[in-house]
Amino acid sequence: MHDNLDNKSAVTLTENEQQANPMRKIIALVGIAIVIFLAFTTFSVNVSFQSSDHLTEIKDLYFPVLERVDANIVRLDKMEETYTQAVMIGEKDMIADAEEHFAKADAAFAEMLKLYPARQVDITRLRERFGDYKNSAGKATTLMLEDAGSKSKEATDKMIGELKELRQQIQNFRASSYENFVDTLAQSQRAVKLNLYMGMAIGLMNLIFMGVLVFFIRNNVRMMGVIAEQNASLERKVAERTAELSQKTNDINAMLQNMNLGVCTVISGNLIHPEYSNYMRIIFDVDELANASMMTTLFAHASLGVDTQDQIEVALSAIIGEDAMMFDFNGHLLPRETTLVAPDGKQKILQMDWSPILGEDGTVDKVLLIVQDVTHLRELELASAHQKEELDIIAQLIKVSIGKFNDFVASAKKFIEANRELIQSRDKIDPEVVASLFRNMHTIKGNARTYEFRLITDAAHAAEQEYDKLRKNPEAVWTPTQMLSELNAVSQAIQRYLVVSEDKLGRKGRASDLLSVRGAFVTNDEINTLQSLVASVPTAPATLCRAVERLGLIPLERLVSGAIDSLSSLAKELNKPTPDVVLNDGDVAFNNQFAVALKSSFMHIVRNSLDHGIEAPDERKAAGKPESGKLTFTYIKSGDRTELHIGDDGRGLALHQLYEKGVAIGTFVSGTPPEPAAVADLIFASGLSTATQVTQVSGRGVGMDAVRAFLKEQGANVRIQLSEVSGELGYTPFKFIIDLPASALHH
Amino acid sequence: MAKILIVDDSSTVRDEVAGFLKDNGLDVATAVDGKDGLAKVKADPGLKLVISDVNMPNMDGLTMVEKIRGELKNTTINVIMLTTEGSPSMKERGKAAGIKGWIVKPFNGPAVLESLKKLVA
Repeated sequence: MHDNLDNKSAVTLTENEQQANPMRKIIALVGIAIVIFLAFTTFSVNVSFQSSDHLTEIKDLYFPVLERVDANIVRLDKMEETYTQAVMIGEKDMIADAEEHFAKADAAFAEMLKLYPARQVDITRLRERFGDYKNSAGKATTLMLEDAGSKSKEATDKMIGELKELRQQIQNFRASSYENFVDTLAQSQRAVKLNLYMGMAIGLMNLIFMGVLVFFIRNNVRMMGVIAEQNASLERKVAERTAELSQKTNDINAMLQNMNLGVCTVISGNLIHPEYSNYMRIIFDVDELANASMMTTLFAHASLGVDTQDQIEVALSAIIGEDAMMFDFNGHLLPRETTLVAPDGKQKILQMDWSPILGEDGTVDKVLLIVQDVTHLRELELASAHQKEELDIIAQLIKVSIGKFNDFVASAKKFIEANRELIQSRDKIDPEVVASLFRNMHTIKGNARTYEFRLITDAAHAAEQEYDKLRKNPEAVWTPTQMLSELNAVSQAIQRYLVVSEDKLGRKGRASDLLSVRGAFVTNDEINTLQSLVASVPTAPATLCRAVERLGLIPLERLVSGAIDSLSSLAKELNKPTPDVVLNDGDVAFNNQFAVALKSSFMHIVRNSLDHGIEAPDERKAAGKPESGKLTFTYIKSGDRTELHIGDDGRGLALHQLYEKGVAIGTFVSGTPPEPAAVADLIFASGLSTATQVTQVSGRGVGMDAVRAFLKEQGANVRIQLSEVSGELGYTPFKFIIDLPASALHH
Repeated sequence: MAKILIVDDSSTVRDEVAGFLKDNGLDVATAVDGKDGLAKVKADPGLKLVISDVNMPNMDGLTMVEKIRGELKNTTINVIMLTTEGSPSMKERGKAAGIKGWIVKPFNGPAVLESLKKLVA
């Protein structure tokens, strides 16, 4: 429990990566904006310069030039006017005034040449024409003043022609100069407009661009906000999970500390992982298990052989670190239950559950072991099972009178002792001995069944099964030790009932239905004494003699009642209604020994009758019989013949089947059936049954064999009397006839 | 064409394992040692699983597996070793040779049948 769980966050933060891209984009956008802005500024400055050049040109060139041209046009007019006045008033001196105007105009032309070198040719020509005009006007004026007649007219005409031409030229020059001026002005205006439009366009572009940028930045800011929020919530979650995990770890640790269950994991090298439940220490009585070898720590005091321990160790090493399938292959070698023996001899029963814990690669990382101390549980289970069994026994016992029970025990013990002697008397298989063993055990079983003594029935059945194997296979091995232990099991089962009957039910004493005469217990000796006393009195009344004679004898009625006690349970088992029993002359009585033999015989006969003779209710109904069967016991005394007839109203004896069996076992020859009586007699042969199915009730064919043997021991014979014998072998009505020896009716 | 090859020098183990698997409807062949096993794996490409003892004369089980993977270049056949010991070095060698795993002896047929069937399905 010293290990802390690994709380490292598995989250890899990629903030930087996530932020890098938008930042780059923003920088790129700003960069582009700057480049565009610079380009625009350069362009704009360039346009402004151009525009300024044009304005300078206008100011420094066109204005002064046009001014001078206009001034010269005025000067020309003044020169013309001055020359005309000079002629009109006849003042020759005024020519000088006109020449003064010319001098000023000429100076203006000189300046214009300097200002406007591009039109040097035109300006020079105008200047020359101006000079020409001054010369011809001066000459014409002089001639007019001198009144030179035709000469002056010639000069005047020339002067007028030159003046006209000059005026035309100077107007042309002015017009072209003005055109240039307007052009330049227009260019300048265009540049300014372009600059304005470009500026507007760039401004608009930049506006859009900025919008995009702002949008982008806003988005990024929001995204960064989201990322930041996510990071924060992630951190919160990690913190929450960490808290949860540590809570869980604490819970698990608390559980491991306090649960009454051994929990640990076994890791590579068959070592115990440091995390284990505290209870492990208590169960295995050790101080520290962390990294201890599982085998030496946990199984040092276990009731496991060295080989088993070795197997567990190898199995674990074949599982841990290997494919998950290896648990399927080797898991069965890990013990599910073991007993620990402490040095003080105290035992602990431990239940163990193993399960693999898989790693991510599908191999077994470790093996989880859960250990439970089930010592107390097992004790309780055992006690409870014992108690339940005892209750069952009590329930079975109280249905049976103490007398009947004691008789059953006495008879069963007799058979057990007989079997013990038989087993011990042989050292190899003997069919006759096996037949006797079987017969005896079958009788115990049958009697136990009659009273529903289940434990005895089961034990007797197990022993009987073994005898049956020997009976069917003469080559089988004779196993006296095993047979005696099976016999002991039967004996112990009977003893168990006896103990419960005496200790729990307080049914002590030697009461017997066979020996007791309602309420009084008379010993054989006493009876014998009484009988010899009566016999010695010749005058004793016949009724007294008969009464005394009957002392200690058991009436047929009581014997039959013993056999029919079991009828209802038996009938239930076979799904048939309980048959009616008719007893004729039940007053006849038998001595004890004979009564015991008769009682066992009745048991077999009644069973056979109900199982094989009396049909199922449907079958009986179809045959026009009442649904319940009928069993009839009749005592007949005729001369010195005393017989007991026992019959039923069933389907009769299956002579055809008996014949086939007889052929099968070699008693009869196929194709030549003997007399029906001979066929019927086969029912008393050992190990023969006509039942197609061996039922729990009867059907092993041992019953009649046993009956004949029991009765023969008492000097009686049992035979079959067939009625309505036809030529065909088929179901034939019959009854059992027991020829009673005279000794049976006396002591 | 058998699907499972049992390699063991003990005829008892061979009979027991092969007999059990045959009784449960699996096609089984046997080999008496590693050398024999190697030859049989080479001869029968239909084999899907080899269950082999470790200690055998002529050629031991692990060498056989190494040769199946190396010489025969058969990397698909599943191999399970039957063993009574679990030394780390042996486990390492088995892992390096690409065995599926170890079944600890004694062979308990009913306990492992279903898993074996999955391996040859």
